[in-house]
Amino acid sequence: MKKAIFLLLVICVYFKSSAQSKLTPWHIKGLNQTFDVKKFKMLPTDTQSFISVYSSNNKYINGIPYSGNPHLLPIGKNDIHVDTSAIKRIIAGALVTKTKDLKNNREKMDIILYFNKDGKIIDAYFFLKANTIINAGEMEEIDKRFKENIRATFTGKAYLQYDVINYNTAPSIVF
Amino acid sequence: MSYYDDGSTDAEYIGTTCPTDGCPITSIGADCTGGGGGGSPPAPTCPGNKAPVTGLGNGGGGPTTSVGILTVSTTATTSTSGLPAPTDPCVTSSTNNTTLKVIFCGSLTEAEQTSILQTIAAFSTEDCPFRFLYAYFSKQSFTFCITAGNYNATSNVTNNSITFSTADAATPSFADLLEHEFFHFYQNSTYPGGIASYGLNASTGVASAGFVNIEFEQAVFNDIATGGRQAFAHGTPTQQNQYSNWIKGLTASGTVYPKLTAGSAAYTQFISNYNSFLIQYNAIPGNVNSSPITSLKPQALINLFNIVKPNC
Repeated sequence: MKKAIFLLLVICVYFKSSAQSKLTPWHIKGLNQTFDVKKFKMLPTDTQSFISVYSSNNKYINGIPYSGNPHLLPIGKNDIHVDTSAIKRIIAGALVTKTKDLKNNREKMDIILYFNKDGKIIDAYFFLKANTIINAGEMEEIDKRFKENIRATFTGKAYLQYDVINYNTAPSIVF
Repeated sequence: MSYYDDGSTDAEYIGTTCPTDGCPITSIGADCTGGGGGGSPPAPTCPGNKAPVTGLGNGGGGPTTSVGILTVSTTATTSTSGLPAPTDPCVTSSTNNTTLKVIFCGSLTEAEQTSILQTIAAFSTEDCPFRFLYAYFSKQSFTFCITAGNYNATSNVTNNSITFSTADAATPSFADLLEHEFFHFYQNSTYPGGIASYGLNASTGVASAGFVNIEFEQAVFNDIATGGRQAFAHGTPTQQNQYSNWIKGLTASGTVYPKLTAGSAAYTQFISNYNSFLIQYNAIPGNVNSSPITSLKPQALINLFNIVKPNC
């Protein structure tokens, strides 16, 4: 019995420390899923580095393939409607204990979401400063809550031409 | 297609108490002057003597082709076709009467002609760069056709013609097709000898060297003009983020257009970054706009944004 309790304790500590892992390249385990973390620079001449963070289960890591009609123009940004207040609420909720530290670290989060025609998220991608204080568990929470709560609606007919609708014009989140 | 039409902003701040009139964005834990600012340019107004658009005219036509005259005027006109006036009340140029002559292919129905005129009207009242383009080509004739196809448009710069593929594409919700094509006409008028030699061979499907230069310049132009991020829509998410941040840097998060003077440090840096993204764009798998890259500089884009202001 003591052995079982000890084992359970070890497992709990492992998962907790896993979730609190710093977001460093390449693969970081959250509680339930693994995230890919990749370092990059915005422009070749830049000195500051950033990281992309996304679930290893994401489908379109290498980009959205062209559809049957490769000449289709991408859907216009004004035909994609997403509640950016809900995005902000989810992020604020997940990072509520770090608000001040995030501000002191001058952090910013960029987001790209891929939706299906029903408005559900297929993939979520996050972009942060390389020295972010946000950890894997927090990213997992944000990713999960996004997929549960964020829905897109579309106007016009253009979106019907696409299997994957790219919402890459979300406002940056600045802390 | 305007970045100020939908009220969206380039950044959201979390946890701030910014006054509504002093902070263009809301925030989490930041004050108004915190990094990464930006936001939307002011909503377009009709400054000076610019007057509301009051009507559209359709001149009718002959048995094989018909001609529509699309008028954006400061004086009241009667719409002979009964078309609704554009929703944006601002006129597009400093002249009192800008007119684009529209010639229709003979096969078009009256309903298709009406829809094309409405599409042109939508285009002509969008963001300032598109209003500029509309005014720039005023008094010129353009032929519009519709053929079978799937939500696209092609232009022939040698005879000023635009062909929509499907009647659905020739509707106002696809006015962005005209944004695309009219910038090509502007490129054609900018580059010595035009851009026909950089085209796509319609029968073989083979792109000439420089085709990607022309198409990428168009995509960057459109993204700066609209706040969209279409150029790298099929790139990797990281490429999209890099490109988006570059555009935000060029436009101060959508509040200004880049003003670039040849020889300046800003110009040199712009060309360097532009070429870096051009190479990446050309390498996107499946990109139908790929071709051998030439040394053509994006002079049409530079010229246009040196002229146009975001709050025209």
